[in-house]
Amino acid sequence: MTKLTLREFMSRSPKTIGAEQTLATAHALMRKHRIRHLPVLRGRALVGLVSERDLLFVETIPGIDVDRVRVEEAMTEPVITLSSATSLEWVATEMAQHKLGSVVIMDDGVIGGVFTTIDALRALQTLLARGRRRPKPEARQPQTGANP
Amino acid sequence: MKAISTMTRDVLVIGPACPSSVAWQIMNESRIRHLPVVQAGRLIGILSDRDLLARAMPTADGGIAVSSDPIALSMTPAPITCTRETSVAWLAETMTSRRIDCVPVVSEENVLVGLVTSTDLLTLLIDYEEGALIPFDFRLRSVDAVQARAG
Repeated sequence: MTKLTLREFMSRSPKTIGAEQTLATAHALMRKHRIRHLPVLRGRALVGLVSERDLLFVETIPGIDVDRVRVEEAMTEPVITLSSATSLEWVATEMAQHKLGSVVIMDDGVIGGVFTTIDALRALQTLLARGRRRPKPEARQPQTGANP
Repeated sequence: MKAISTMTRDVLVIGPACPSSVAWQIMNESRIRHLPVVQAGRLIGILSDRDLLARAMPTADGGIAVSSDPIALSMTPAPITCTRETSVAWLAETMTSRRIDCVPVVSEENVLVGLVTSTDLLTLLIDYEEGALIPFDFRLRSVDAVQARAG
């Protein structure tokens, strides 16, 4: 069986935003493209990732001027970067275990895309629609965890 | 189709009168983003960290203070729900298209049974099955204001 990788399921060529750009600009970009995550660049270097949740968190604070506060003040750093050849199963495990909303896909130093929870759910839909089976429920290990 | 119940999920639930500040504390301590709100066992809403942040105030030290208002004022009433008979495929499609991160599981009488989150579905990418139903057992734990303060 061919190993499933992020290449097939990631969102390609994501929009990026400069670290010095404003929260208002980031939010407008997210709304325009209906995305929740933006890799943050300083020059050409990836320095962070800002999510819609990060923006909402900062914007909640009364007195915050979204036209003045910079993205770098709301972004998450460091960013987890992975090759597009990374196994889908491995990434899904890591994202679930560490409650990651997204990872940035980088091949040969170039940002190729992002892989988010939404991409993972789309991947699950695709795989279920293909009708492939992974039976052997007896092989599963019991797991516990609280509502993320 | 069949349900495979081999994974157990603890689901913290909360009452509508719980102060928002206590709910915020529970979310942070438990590293969760959603709390189903129940009254007499029945689901009446879902509370997210975003709901609480929307009514938060800044503190002098740069932090965030969440009010002591009851969470009933902040929660989303009548959220999208599913049942034990709901398929994983429907959940994945609904979460994607409606852009929501969790779906409470209820009985026909709207009694809360559990909660499925997008993180839960991530785990199914590793071990999915065609036509599968929700493959989790749920263990509800009620956290009221008194317990939270004592804990």
